[in-house]
Amino acid sequence: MSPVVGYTAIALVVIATVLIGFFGVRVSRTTGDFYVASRTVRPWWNASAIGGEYLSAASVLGIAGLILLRGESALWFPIGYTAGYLMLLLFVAAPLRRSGAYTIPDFTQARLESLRVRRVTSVLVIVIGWFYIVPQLQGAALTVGITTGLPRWVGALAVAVIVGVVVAAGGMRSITFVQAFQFWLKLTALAVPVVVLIVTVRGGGLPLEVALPVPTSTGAADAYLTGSLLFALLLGTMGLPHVLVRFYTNPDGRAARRTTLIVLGLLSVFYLFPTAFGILGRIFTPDLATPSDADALVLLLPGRLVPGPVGDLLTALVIAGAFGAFLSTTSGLVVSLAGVVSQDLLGGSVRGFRLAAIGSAFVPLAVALLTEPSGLAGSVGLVFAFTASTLCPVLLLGIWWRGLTARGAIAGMVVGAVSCGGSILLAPWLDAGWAGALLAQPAAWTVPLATAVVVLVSRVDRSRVPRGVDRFLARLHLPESVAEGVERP
Amino acid sequence: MRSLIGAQLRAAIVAAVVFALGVGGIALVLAVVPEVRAATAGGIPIVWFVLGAGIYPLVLVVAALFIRTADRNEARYRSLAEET
Repeated sequence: MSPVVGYTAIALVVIATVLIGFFGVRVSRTTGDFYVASRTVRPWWNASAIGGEYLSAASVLGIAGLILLRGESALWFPIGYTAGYLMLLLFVAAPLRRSGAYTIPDFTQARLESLRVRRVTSVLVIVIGWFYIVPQLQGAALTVGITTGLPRWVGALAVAVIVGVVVAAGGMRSITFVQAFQFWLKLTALAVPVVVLIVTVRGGGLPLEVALPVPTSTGAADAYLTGSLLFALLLGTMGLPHVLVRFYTNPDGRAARRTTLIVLGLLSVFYLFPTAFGILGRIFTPDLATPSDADALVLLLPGRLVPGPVGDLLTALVIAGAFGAFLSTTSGLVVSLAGVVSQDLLGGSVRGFRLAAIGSAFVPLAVALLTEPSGLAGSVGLVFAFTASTLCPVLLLGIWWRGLTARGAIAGMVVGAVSCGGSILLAPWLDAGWAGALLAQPAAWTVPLATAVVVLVSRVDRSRVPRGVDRFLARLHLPESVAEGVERP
Repeated sequence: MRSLIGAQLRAAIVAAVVFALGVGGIALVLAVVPEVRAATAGGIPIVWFVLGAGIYPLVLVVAALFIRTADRNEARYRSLAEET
C-alpha cells in the first residue's frame, strides 16, 4: 500500500484530535464541568461517548485478528466485551452514579471511610490503567509500521506524546463530543469497508469449508479457557478506570441505566463488523494468520481485496478508525489515571495533574517498547481478568453488602492482585494442559478466591463496619427524588 | 430502605442468571448437538452466525427487562415513602 495513504489518514485524525482537544480547554476547565454538562448532554451523545472511549485497539484491530487466528473460540471476545456492560448495568450503573464519586478510589474511600483503602485502590487503578494503555500503544506501533513503513516505535511514541501533551495542556477532559465523534468514526471505519468488501466479493466459489471449519469437539481445557475469559470480561468492565467517570454526565441514576442500555445497543451493532472482518480474513487472507501479523488484518484486508483508489480510501478509513481508537482510549485512561495520581501523590494541584498526565502516558510507553506484543485482544483480556479479581469484588460488595469493612476490602484486593497477577506472569513458562490453562486464564478461580477473602475477613472484622454505612447505601440506592436529607455533592 | 436494596439486588441477580442460562444453553446446544454444529447457511456454519450476532439480542432484552423492573421497584418505594 502507498505510505501516502497511511500518513494522510493518521495526520488527519491527529490534527482533528489535537484541535478539538485544545479548543476544548476553553470549554472545560475543572472536573466540575462534568456536572455542568450533566444538565445538557443527551443520553444518545452520552452513550456514544462511552462507546467511543470503550472501543479500544482490542476491539477495532484485535478481535478480527483473533478470529482469523483462532476461529470460533474468538467469537466469544466481543460477546464478553458487550455483556460486561450488561453486568455494569445490572449491578453498578445507577448506584455508582448516585454515589458522588468521580473515581473508584473516591468511591472506596467514601464507602469504607478509610484512607488506606483509598491508597490500595489507587495503586490498583494505576496498574490497571497502565497495562490497558500498553496494548493501545502496541496497536499504534503496528499501525504506523504497516501503513507508513516507519519503525514501529514511532507509532507508540507518537500516541504517548500526543495524548500526554494534550491531556497535560488541559484538553480532553470532559469533552463528551470528542469521544462521541470517536464512536461514530470507529463504527464507520469498520462498517463501510465490510459492506464494500462483501459487495465486491459476493458470489464465486468461496473456500468456506476450509476457512470456517466446524471443529470437532474441543477439549475440556479449551472450554475452561473460553469460559474463564468470558467470566473475566463480564466482571472486569465495571472496574475499568475510565468507565466510571463517564457516568457523571448522566443527570441521575435512572438516566445512567438508560444510557447504559443505549451503550449496549451501540456495542451490539459495532461488534458485528470486527467479526465480519475476521470471517472475511479467514476466507481471503489466511496467510496473515500468524501471531505477529493477525492484528494487522483490518488494516490490510481492504487493500488486498479492492485494488485502486477505492481500496486506498477504505484503507485510509480503517487507519483513521484504528488511530482514533488508540487516541480516545488512551486519553480517557490517562485523564482518569492523572486524576488519581495527582490527587493521591501530588496534592491535587494543576501542576501535579500535568506531571501525572505525562507520567501516565510514558510509563506504559516504556513497557510497550520493552515487551513483545502478544496479541492485542489477548493482552486486554488479561487486564480485564486482573480488574475482575481486584476491584470488582470490592465494588460489588461495597454497593450491595453492608458488612464490608476496610480490612476485608484490602485483604481481598491484595489476594486477588497477587493470585491473578502471579498467574499471568507465570503462565508463559508453563506448557499447555490444565495447569497452564488455569494460570493462562485465572479469572474463574481468582475472582471467587478474592471475593471469599473479602467476605471472610470482613466477617471477622465485623466490629469495624463503617458507622455511616446505612446512610451511604441509602444514597446509592434511593431514587434522587426521595433522597432528601441524604447529602449530595 | 433495605427492602428496596433487596428488591434491586434480586432483580439484578435474576437478570444475570437468565442471561447466564441463555448463553450457557446456547453454548451447550452448539457443543453437544451434532446436527446444529454441522448446519450451514450460505456455506457459513450456523455456529458462526449464532455466536457472531445471535447473543446480542439476548443482551438487549435482558437489559430492557431489568431496567423496567428496577424503575418499578423505585417507583413503588417512592409511593410508599410519600404515604408515610
